[in-house]
Amino acid sequence: MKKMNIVLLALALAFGVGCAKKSTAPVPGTINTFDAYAARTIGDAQQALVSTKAWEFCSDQKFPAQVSFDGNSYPCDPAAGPFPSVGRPILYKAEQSYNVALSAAQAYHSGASSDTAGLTQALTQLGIDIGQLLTGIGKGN
Amino acid sequence: MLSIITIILGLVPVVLKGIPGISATIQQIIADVTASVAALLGSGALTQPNANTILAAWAGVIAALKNDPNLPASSLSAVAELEKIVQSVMLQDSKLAQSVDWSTFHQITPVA
Repeated sequence: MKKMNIVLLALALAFGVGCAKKSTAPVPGTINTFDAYAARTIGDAQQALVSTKAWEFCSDQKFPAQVSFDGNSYPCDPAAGPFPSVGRPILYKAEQSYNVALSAAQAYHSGASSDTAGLTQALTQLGIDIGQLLTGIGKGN
Repeated sequence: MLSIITIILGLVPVVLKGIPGISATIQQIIADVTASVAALLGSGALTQPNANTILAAWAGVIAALKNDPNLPASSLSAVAELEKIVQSVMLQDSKLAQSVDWSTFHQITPVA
């Protein structure tokens, strides 16, 4: 079942990349539609990861008013309850995937790299890891 | 194109179905919403308004679950937090569909 979920996620992401390449609508701040797709994936993933990490930090520190990491502060909500222990290793893995994808996306955006295959693979892995992370923490424990 | 949003919205029912002790009525609602959402996600025609509508549907299911005293509080708090995260991602996604500021993206320090 877990393998099937991963396959479905990979297919969905692969389909998504294909759609992005065919789209022609430009987005301000991007150099082309693939760049826009990469930026959107990175931005969405960053939001999911930062929100999840804030929950983890708040839980670990017994829910103070706010927590700080990576140069930013985030408010805590005690109603969130304890961060699920199952989420820690998958959050760590997703953060690593995010950093890899971000570096690749920034290199593509700046023109330092034209490796679309490598970036696609990094974004696909990031999507899979984000999906597994949210599924894991949503189930709790 | 909403790839991560598409994935996230597709995962919500997986999480909800995993909550132990859900009543048959709610299970049927989850199945009905899942079928409708699957048709939309599978069509490849997911737009921002559609995504918001899907999230609103799941929010309604989650609200109903919160009112069921027979469900474990730990499961519901985790689902409620997941809902908040999904909402924040959707807000971010709608902004990125309009314009992108690459300076807002930063590395995240993994903590083992």
